[in-house]
Amino acid sequence: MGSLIVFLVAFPLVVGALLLAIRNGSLRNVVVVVAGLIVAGVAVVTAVTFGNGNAVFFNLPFDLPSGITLSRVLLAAELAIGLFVIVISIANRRVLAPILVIGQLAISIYLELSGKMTEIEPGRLFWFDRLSMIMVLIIGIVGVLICIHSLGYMRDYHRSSPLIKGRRTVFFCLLFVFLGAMFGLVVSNYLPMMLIFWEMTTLCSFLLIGYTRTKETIGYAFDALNMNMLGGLGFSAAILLLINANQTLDLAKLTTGPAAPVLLPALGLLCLAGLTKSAQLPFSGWLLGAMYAPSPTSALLHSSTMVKAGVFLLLRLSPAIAGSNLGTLVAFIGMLTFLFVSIVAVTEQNTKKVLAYSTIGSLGLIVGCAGLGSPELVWVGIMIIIFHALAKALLFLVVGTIENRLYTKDMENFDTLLSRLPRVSALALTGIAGMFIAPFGVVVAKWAAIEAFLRIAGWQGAALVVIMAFGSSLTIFYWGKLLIKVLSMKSVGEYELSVEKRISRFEWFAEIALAVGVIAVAAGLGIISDKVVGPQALATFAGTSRAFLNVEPAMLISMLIAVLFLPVLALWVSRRTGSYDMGDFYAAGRSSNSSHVMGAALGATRTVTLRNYYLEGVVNGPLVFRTGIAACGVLTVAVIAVGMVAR
Amino acid sequence: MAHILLVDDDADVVSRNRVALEASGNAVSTAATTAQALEAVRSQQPELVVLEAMLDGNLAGFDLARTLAAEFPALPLIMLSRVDEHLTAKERSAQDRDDGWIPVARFMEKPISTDVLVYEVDHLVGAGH
Repeated sequence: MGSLIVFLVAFPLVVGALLLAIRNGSLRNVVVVVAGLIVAGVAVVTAVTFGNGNAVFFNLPFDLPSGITLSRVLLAAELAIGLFVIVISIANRRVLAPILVIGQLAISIYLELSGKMTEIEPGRLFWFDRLSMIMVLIIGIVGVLICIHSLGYMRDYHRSSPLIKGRRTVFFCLLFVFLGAMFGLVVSNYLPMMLIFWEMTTLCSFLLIGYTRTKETIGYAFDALNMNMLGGLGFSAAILLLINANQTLDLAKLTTGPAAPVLLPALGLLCLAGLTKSAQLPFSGWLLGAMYAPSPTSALLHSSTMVKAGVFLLLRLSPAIAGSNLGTLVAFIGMLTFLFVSIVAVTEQNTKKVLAYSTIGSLGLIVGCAGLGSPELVWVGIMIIIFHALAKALLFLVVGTIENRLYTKDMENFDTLLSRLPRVSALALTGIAGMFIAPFGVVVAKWAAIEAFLRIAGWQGAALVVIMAFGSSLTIFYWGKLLIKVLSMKSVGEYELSVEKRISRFEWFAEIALAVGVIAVAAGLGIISDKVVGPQALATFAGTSRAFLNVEPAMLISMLIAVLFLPVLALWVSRRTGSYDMGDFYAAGRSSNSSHVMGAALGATRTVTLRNYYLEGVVNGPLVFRTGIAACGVLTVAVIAVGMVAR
Repeated sequence: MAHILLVDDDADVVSRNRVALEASGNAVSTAATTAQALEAVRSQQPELVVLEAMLDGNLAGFDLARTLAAEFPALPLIMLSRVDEHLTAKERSAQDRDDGWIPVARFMEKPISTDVLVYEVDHLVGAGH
């Protein structure tokens, strides 16, 4: 087991270094595809090897050279990351990131020099259970598909923006380094080691957001760096508090059950780290800026994996914080984030940003589940992780493909997509359906969450159900608008149809594989629940064995057929172009924007408009966002304070 | 309000784009050949040029873009073309370079929606100010 894990961490790093030296495009294609398939293969083997499913703990498969301790190795890595951040910040005249880094380094150097840093017990460096297994499979399969997709995407990206200096050696290097860091993060049991991987993902995200090196993107990159470094500092401070209180740095031991009050300050800071990484309010701003990175980056880091590290940590902490005020506060931050960003998403026209808001909202639901903590809620949280990772990665990749063909991310310009890019539309429909239509897991999980919330006594349960109901209805609003845009049609010429033929086979491969994945996990919902997610939820909370989901096969099959019907029907209809022509039409409530003023009965005038409805005049998106930042900001301060007071 | 020069030998395309750009508040002048385009840029000093790759009956648009980029480095260029139809796979893969295969801010294959063109023009002209 140890060797497999070390391979999963080290091999992508080596491949990353190799890719830095490969300038030849064809050679790069071969290396990325071959190395990617090896990574995915080993990830699957690791998951299968893990057969019986009970949590296992293990060490490095080799001994460190004598005289070198693990904490020294980790300190060296932290210094390297810290110095890099300081140098690059000074070069760009930024001060906040270096201050946060210096704070973090000061803690680590102090702990090491004072001899206080505690090593992990032998044999407990790594922790592998079903949750790690799920994450390893997501990183290995979804992550690699996104790397392969990037080969085609980046070619067209640079072709259509020739003045952007291509740095694809760096880009692909970072993707692979990121994969290695993520694998390390999800199997770490020793908190200082998890912190290093945590910071590595922050650094990859920072460099990828700033890929084009324009003034604009460098600004967004530093936003992301600052927010994530703040979380990193919280993580470091948590380690310091744990050591000072003579507590263990063994994550599994720390989270066996409700935490003693002495642990709460440290747990509050770890929660802060989780909340920043998963872009919850008040920290969500960085994820919106991150949308200026090339689309595969958004798919990989900012929806399917890196932001999941935050909720992964919170799910790990769930048994310790559930039932405490700390847990309740964290849960409300997540749920309010879900509600606020769902409102803002309805007012947003940039499709990538809609996907970003939707991502923040889905993560908010998982945070809510982790904070409240029960077997049912952990089940919901993990289910959303799985389904969201597949469906959202697919959607980000599809939007990237559309952007390279139609040069727009504006939802209004996605009109008649089914006629212009029929196959891409079918893939988009699968992804959209995966996010909000039964029997796909996100909807099933939301249903289960409502049930679990109803079981919570007192006002909290009622409040959460209301938040859930309003938030979910808003998600249907924005998905519905996108769905209808994609589904509209017009007559297209032969040349317009040929546009789709120029999409690279790398992009087709990744998108089709992900679409198949979305449908496959929906078909396997019962098995995934019974064999993987259910047992994990019970292990986390030591609950009595029960079935979380009763799927009637006939029901599931009929729903699946209904779902398959959508893309298949869409493709079939799209072939019938030319025989009819459809005009602009009416979607999501009413149209807006004043294109024409028409006279109506009784002398009234009506403005005729041809756009979707973005709640103009009803909801001020930026104001709602700022309100969310203020509300959740107060709760976040409370998260830190509650821990301190309880102590 | 910006002054945009449209360079294309297809009168239909020019008129469609002209209407859209004028409706969004820009002043538009046009040229149908590389010679006219160079003359117009030098005499009228537009703030942005939208050009086709296929001009003068061949791929002269590429040379025009290079000439304009060398002579007016601050002038944003957008190239709209269906030139891909006329390139071999080898010629296309030669365009796959990290250091910019043609010195234009945006290269977009026709047909593109006028909304997208207007957005790109606004974005590039706005960035220059």
